[in-house]
Amino acid sequence: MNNRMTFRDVEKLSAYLDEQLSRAEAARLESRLASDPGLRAVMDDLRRTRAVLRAAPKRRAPRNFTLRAESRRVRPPLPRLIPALRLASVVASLMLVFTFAANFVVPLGGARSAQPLYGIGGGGGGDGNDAGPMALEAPAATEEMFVAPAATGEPELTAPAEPAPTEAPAPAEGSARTQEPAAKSLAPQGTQGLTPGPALPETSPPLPIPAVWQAGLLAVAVILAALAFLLRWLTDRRWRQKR
Amino acid sequence: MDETALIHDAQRGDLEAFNRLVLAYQDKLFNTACRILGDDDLAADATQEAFISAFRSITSFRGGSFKAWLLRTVTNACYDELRRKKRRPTVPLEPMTDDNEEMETPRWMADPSLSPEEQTEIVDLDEAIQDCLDALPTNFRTVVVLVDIQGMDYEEAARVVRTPLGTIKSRLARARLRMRECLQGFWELLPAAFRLRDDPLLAESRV
Repeated sequence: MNNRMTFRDVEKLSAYLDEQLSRAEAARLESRLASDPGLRAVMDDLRRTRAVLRAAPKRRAPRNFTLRAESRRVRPPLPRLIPALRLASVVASLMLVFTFAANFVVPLGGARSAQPLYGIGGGGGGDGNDAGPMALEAPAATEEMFVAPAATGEPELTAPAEPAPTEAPAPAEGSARTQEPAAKSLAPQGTQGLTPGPALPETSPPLPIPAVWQAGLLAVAVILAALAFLLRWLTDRRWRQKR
Repeated sequence: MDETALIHDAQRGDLEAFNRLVLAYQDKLFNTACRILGDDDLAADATQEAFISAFRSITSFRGGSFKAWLLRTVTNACYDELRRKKRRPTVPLEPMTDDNEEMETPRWMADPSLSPEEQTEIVDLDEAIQDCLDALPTNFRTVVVLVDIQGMDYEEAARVVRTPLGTIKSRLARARLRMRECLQGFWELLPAAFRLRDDPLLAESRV
């Protein structure tokens, strides 16, 4: 038997001592041990080394490590509900911030896109209102624009549903403006720059996210945060009372 | 002591129940920390930190071996101490007297039931083992402390140090080999039953 020993052999001997080899591996190693005194000697030394370590004097704790409730570093374990409440409160707060941002950005975007409409003579008036109830009124606005072929001249708009006499872009025919409710409601946006007359109603566009929703989100965020705080306080109090 | 009931109570915030667990395991944790850190003051700090950390996170204990779970906590605390120790001056192993001299027989080793000779022998053995452990890389030392000194099996040790089983086997074999070589230097200090032979074959297998 050769006496060349590898670390793999030492590893197997070590595992064999702890009965961590499979039966087949253990059997192979045992047959080698029977015929290899060098391997046997190493295993004896490993066994003695392990025995020395197992006999190492056990040190006892120099003092008690029990925890005291008064210690500021020690707090009772957190009930599992608290992190969930906190997370839900944070999510509600984030959604609330998002609604404010949405309400702030969308009207700005609408105003900015409404500006060029006047520059092209009112053609394509429905495009500026891409959110909320205004969008629903866009078709009426486009139909309205078709009746002024001289002014708009857009070839693709070839479906004049009704040659209505409203013709919002034309200031001379402003008298017909009030005949159709749809055109009336659109008038402040489509004609504001051209006809700042007193007949135009001063209505601000409705916000994309109603204030009721925002109030609801605010209430949810506050209530959840308060619940988490209350639960934490009750847990602390009950824990201190036990002490 | 019904350990499961105590753990359950501790998970609901019962500090008294947790402290009973502390009393049951504090020697084991402190001993482990001492062997890993080689310093009883640091070991006491690590043990205290481990129990505080364990109480804070006991709701995350999902069953299994509570001892292994605690030992993992104290092992992590020891690693933290070792990182701090690197940034601080080393502290002598021996406790100091009021005159700033090392005590020959530390208080923690004194046992009045033993004869002076027996006490000396135990102290010598303890020092020899600790010196050799201190010479090991931390990863090897931790494994040999958990398996050979604390008597954990490979699976438990693997869970404690979060290392694959094969790595545990390998580290343990290397650690034992190095310990065997190191303890040769303390041959005359070891009790007769533990004295190791100087085997030239082992030198060939050094890795």
